[in-house]
Amino acid sequence: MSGLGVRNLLALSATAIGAFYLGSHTKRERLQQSSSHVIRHFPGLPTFGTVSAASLVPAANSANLTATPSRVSQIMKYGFPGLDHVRSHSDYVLSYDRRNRIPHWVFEHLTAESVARNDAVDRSKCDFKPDESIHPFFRSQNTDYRKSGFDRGHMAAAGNHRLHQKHCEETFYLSNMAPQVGQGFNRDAWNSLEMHVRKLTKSYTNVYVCTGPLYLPHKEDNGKMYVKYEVIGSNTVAVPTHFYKVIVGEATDHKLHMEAYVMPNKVISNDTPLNVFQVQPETIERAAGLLFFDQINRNQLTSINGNKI
Amino acid sequence: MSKRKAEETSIEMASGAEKISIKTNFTIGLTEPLKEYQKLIETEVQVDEIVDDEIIKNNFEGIAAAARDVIWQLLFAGSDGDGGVTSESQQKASELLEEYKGDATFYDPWEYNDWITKLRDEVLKKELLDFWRDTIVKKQLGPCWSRDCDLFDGDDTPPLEFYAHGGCTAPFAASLKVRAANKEVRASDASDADSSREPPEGEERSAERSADDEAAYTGVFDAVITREQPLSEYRDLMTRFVLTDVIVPDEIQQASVKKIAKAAQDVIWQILFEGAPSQEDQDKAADLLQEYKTDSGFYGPWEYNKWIFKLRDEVLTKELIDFWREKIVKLELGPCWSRDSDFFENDDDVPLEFYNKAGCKAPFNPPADT
Repeated sequence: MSGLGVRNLLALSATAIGAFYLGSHTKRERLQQSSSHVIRHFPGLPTFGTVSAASLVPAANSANLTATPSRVSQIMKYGFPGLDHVRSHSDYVLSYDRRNRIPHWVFEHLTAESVARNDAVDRSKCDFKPDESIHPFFRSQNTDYRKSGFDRGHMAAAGNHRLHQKHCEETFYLSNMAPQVGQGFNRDAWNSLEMHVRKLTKSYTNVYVCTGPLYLPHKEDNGKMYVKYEVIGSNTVAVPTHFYKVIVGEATDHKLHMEAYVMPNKVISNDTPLNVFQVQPETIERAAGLLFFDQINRNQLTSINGNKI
Repeated sequence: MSKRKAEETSIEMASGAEKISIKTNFTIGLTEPLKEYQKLIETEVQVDEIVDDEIIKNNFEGIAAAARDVIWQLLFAGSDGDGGVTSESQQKASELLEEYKGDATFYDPWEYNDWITKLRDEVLKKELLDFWRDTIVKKQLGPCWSRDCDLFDGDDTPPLEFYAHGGCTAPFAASLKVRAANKEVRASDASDADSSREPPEGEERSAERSADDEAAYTGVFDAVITREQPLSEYRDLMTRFVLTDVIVPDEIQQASVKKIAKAAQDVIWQILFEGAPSQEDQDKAADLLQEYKTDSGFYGPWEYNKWIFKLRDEVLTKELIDFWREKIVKLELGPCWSRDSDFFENDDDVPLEFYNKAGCKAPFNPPADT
């Protein structure tokens, strides 16, 4: 009886040890094989040097083609709104919302030079493409957007990144898109807001802008509040109810000016002036669950939405 | 990086996509071109599986090229300037062109935009003016732009010139004029409209409200409830000093709730036991008691659960039997338990005992498992 038990135990442990060694061996094999392949570098979060808010960032005279730590810390000078799945591209930084398949936020740093017309950048070579650095479960595809009634709407706008073709192309990753109403919004009112932000580089040395989606509640007939939004395609990409932009301009006298906008994701009449959509930045922070320009004490701002503080 | 490699998952997820591969030439026949085209798009382009983007692009390019060939054939083959093109084949060309443009706006407008100009020139040369007017111009099948394609935006130039042939103009020319006019008006408005904003609504009330908020924040206020309108006064105190939007330190809020609860207890006691309470008095007391009990269930039931025994004993001593039966028992104004309050769970004691006085019983059945 006990002899049988011992034999069983021996057989069992031999199997277990054998399996362990076999496993570790194959794993080593695989590692060796994979190391002979080229390892793809996904944009990650670089380490940051300290950035002093007292110094103006000089306009870059040459375009970085990779997400260098120095470029990223320039863009993120005033703090990260959040740290969920942050990806840095050569000219903008993005936090990806895997559940909704669109960004939480994107951050950009614009100068007059980076938004200037540039014949070396050809929009027609840019293509909406799935972002393969996103796990396939959470990736949106062109198919999701096709015939959905929504545009592939840029969060980081293509027109903000004209220093180099690559900068522009990187804004066409579907991870930088959210479903936007096309005519009357993405190609009109929202586009006007993007142009307005670009125009700010005429008044400010540096313009920092954070853009992202909102899912705002509304009251239904029973008096209760609900958050309701459509999802499109087989990957159920969320259609946000609103979008925001929070902008800080650094003037030559080092003074800081903030503007904040929220626009509903629907057809907006062409004659609606932009300042109708200005809101207090705090309301966006509360709705988004993020803090924008956290490194700036709001008392340091000279103006918010054009009003003196 | 997670242990589960994205590549492995991709392979799993693309397992249904094996049938999709790079094909180099697609053909579309002349008999049912639209159907054939749609089927090709459906099977080779519009797939839900994860397929390499290059493959999709190549397939679309191939199908688009086949569509362009067929359209060209339908319109120009066999027509030697003597109208050898049947209306039927024009119809087919028109349908396919419309469908192809719809896809091109999504997948690849650039190729379309180049080619459609060539097609236009050929159409005009061959003097197919009906096709020009009724199909290309009317259905706006000229170059893709921001009106029909998300690869363009308001910065891009509208393709007005394309349509300005054969006595036609772009169908959208008028609306662009209106828009340009609006823009000018707006620009002049913007210059003289400086921030003369209306104060937000509720501005005039804010002074009063902030005094209440201040009191709520500090807990410094007098909780006065009189015999006349006890319920509405109680509610008013709760609304002003407890249910505020201001973030109040927890211990201060608790103290405020206690203070208002104490005032409620006192006034109930007064109404019931200072002289003989009329029916109206009893109703008032019961209304407040009910509201106070509900709030206790939320803010903390312990004080209520102690005090309600005292009240009950006094009610029975004073022989207010109606109040006991019709109010306390019937309205379940005894101690809070899991039916009234999330402070309790199902395995907590049920206050059956409390009601077993003066021939009454608890108005509820004990849970089955006790």
